[in-house]
Amino acid sequence: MFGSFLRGRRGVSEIVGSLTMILIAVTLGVALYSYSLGIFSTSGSSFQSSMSIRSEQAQEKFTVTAVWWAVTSSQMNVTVLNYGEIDLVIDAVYIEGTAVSAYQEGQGETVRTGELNSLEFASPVSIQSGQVYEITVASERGNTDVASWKA
Amino acid sequence: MWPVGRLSRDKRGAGSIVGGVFIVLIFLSGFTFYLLNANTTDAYNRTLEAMNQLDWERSQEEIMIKEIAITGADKLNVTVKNEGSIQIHLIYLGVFNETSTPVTQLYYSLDEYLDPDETATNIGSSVTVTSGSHYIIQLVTERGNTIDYDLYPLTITGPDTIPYYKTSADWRSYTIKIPSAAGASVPTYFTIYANGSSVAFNGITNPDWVPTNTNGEYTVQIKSTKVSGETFILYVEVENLVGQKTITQEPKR
Repeated sequence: MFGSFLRGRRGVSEIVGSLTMILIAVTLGVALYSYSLGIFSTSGSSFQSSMSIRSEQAQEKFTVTAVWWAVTSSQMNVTVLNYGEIDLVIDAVYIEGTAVSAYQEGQGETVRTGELNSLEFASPVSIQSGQVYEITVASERGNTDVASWKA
Repeated sequence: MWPVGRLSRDKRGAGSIVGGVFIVLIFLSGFTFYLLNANTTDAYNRTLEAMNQLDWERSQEEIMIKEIAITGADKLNVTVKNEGSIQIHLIYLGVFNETSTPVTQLYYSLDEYLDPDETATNIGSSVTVTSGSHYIIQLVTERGNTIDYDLYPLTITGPDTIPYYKTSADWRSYTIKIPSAAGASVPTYFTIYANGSSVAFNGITNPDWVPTNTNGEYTVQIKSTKVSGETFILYVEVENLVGQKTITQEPKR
């Protein structure tokens, strides 16, 4: 009778022990799997994001097609052509390395592929007729185009 | 002892299976992310290749403005030749009036394809220019290349109609003005020609090659003797600049 009871309890303990071990193994497995998924996901999305930015930068192409300067109003006008494969936004213009601060139009506007856009602004440096100036146009994605312009 | 040993082996087996399943899952996940990243890298490389191809094609474009004429109605007539090795797509015509204050810059849309060695004419035929003004004419290609051309329009001043020539009083005078900035110093030699069947110039042949005076001007007298009357064009050409004026000779009365 007692022996039979012991055998019964021993059996229950084995089952509970097995289930406990399986539960521990599953818990550890889930934790490890979640951790590894997190690692993969973080590094993966970081990589994807980085490649996406680089890809867009590579697809973005633009050039300055024309520059004119109104002597009377001291306003400058820079025309930019987007000949790349994606739309772009002109973020900044620099004249001889000095950033333009007063834009009349064009800054922040989307330039569709194959289209022209005019940027009008007050020159941050004094323009002398006959002098050559370096005009740098920068996009939001960080690409630049440098044009040499004779006033 | 025997049943206990069997249970222990079962426990180890269950734990190994669970662990193994998770390890396989982790490897599968890692492989999936590796494939995703490989695809992204591949797509990026294809993008780089495409953009490098665009840069190469851009460098192969070679376009030349052969001639810019101003029609009798003051319209542009640009003749362009593709001297490169690949097809060119012209997408904009820029017309910058350098004489006006401030300078005006206008762009007109184009949709002109030129195969290698092909010449296109009559580009900008809807664009009106002002006689005597200095223009920069710019062509823009789809690949981002531009070509500029300094245009100093020739002016031909004179009547639009002339009578049938009967006496010396029927000569009609036309003043041709060639801006000195056209490239050559004054006096500028130029070609003069009229395509009428009975047109003659006073004192020079048709066609002829004559110089302007020091002011860049030349006055030519023209007569025409077509009984039924006709319309002809007076051409003036200097370097690669062409001016023209349409003249109608009235019928004999």
